[in-house]
Amino acid sequence: MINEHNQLQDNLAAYALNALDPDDIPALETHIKTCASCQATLTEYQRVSAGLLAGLPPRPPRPALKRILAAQLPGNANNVRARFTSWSLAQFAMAGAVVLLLGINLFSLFQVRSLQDQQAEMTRQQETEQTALSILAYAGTQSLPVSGEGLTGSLLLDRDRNAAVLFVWDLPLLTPNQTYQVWLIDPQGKRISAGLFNAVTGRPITIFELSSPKPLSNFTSMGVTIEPRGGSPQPTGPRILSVNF
Amino acid sequence: MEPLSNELDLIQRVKEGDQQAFLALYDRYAPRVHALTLRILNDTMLAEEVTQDTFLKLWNHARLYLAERGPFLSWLLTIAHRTALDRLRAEGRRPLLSDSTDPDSLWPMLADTNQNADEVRWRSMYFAMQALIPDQKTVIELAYYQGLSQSEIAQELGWPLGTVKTRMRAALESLRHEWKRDDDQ
Repeated sequence: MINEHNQLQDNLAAYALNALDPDDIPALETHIKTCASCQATLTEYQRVSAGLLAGLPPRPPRPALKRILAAQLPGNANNVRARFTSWSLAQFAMAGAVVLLLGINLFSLFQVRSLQDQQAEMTRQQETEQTALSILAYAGTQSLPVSGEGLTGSLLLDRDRNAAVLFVWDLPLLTPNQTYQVWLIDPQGKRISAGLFNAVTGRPITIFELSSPKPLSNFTSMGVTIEPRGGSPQPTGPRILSVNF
Repeated sequence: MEPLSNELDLIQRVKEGDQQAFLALYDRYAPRVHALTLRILNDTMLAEEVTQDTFLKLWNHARLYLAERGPFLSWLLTIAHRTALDRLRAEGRRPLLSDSTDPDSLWPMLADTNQNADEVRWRSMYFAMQALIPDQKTVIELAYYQGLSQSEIAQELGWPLGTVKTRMRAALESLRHEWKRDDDQ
């Protein structure tokens, strides 16, 4: 009985993280119903897991997202169409003028939001540059030359702190339907995405902070490919940069 | 941050279809939801899409939120968590989870109503997570932010299943200890 309790108690952490294998769930759930000790432990684990969700540093999305979201809320398009049928010509003319004014305002609004988007991008770049400066300050940081056809750059790599920042000079701008994607490659040749980025108009140096789900010490090299917008699960496009660690 | 009563008022108004209240909740919580979706998906565009999906689920299912069952932010972030993991699975990397807005499947995942969750405590949890030894941190990240089961983690890392279980439990124990330390202070 005690052995069974100890065995099932070992599964509580995985259960709280929603990582328990499905075959193990029924026995644990049955046990929890009658075990006050496990109930108490599970409650505390669940508090911790909620804390993990909420504890990440806030990252505001682009301001444009709020506009897109608002546009998807239920409007009154059908009702408006129904009302049009009983409108007079003068009312239509008035509506047309209003629409024109709204159009002008929307155009101005679009310009303002475009500037806000640019500002958000600059902020992100600034954060990346600060990370790069921080990495440079560590004694164990490696600076590796990155090579590609007609391209030069370097990779700052700090395995101890699992941080890496890529610098590329004169990176070409891509079409709106394309993106650069960074891949980390392990000794078996398995590739894992380390994020997407694009060149910024008017900036000679593109800086990108890699995001690795695993310790960087697991990988032996890095590559950059051109992929469709949104990225790919595995590389599909031409490799334009590579570096061996 | 506005007082909790204001938050409950906003939620009630969203339940009644008030778009301004909905956008006010968006302003307040979008950075947290986006931080989580970005952490899981590691892609700005996908993360914004899932952030948007999460808030649309809030708009469509606000009536399912019951204040007496847990904090609103935990409920919202749990929806975001599951929606983001489902998106990972939709990319072909993981099997699908259950309906991420189903209240019966969501509530058991939330902490109880006595949870004394606040900004400072959540932040200390973040730092406690960063301070875990690397193997423990890796296990937690793969489980919670990548949606892998213990067996999948064992396969992914090439570790024995027992090792994964031991490290996961040790990690959560360490975080729980940190949480309780805050209780004692």
